Amino acid sequence: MKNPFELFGLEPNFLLNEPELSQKLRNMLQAVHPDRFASGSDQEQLAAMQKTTQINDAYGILKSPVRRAQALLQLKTGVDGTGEVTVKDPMFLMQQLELREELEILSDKKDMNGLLAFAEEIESMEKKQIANINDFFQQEDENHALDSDKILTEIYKLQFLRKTLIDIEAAEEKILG
Amino acid sequence: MAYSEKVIDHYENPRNVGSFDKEEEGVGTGMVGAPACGDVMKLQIKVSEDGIIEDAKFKTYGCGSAIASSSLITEWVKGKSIDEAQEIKNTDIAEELALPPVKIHCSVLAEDAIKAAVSDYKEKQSK
Repeated sequence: MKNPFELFGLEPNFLLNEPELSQKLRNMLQAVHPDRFASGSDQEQLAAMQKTTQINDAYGILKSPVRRAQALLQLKTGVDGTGEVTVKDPMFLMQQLELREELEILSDKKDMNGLLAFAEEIESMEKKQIANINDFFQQEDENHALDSDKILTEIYKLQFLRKTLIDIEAAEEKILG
Repeated sequence: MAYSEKVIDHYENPRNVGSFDKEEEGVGTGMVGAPACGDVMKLQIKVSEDGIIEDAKFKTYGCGSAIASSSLITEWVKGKSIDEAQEIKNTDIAEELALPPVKIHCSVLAEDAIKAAVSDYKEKQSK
């Protein structure tokens, strides 16, 4: 099966053009839309349905920075970064714990403005981390293989930030009822 | 997903939540995290001069199973020697809490946390 980048006709890069990706998604889904195969054979209809699933799965990977980075790492180095592992970097984890504590306090106080400001702070950390991961992917050239361990560690960090953002959203929704 | 009664009990009445000063003599701190689910766990032990864990505390941000696993392990390690504490297997935790297969990693995290706390304690002692 084609990897998600190939399926979408994209160069395997970490940074991608989001409007271009959405446009490609629409075109590709249209091409396999069930209506086009309404008079086709069962086999053609099934193939169109399977293709739709493949396209949607690949899109899900490409639009998520974490999953896109994992897919690219797998493609370039063969390393699977999707397993359940334990991270033990004390400095980083202590920082993450403090962020969750801050979130807990804001959530308990039902401080909506505080939560919005906090979300902005984490989003900017997430942006920086995405740029950071991109730098590591860019280091590949004829003289340098990718440092898969280092990239994995940086993807893990992005995953914790993402989780904090999900928790912030949940806290906001709880306040709004 | 249905949680077992024991998980719910630990989740609703977590034992030993809190912190010790990590600079304090005899305190070992273990920090672990699971990137796949974003859980963060801090587990601390307070060890007496003869190597017995007198007290343990935890702080976990994660799902019910992760909170229950860390709560349970703080109960289990109290009164144990640091070597005995390191012998605790994640499978014992998973069995006690009746964790479903998708939540086994929560018990692994708790085992890794106690190991990290013991090794932090040993490192501090050797200084």
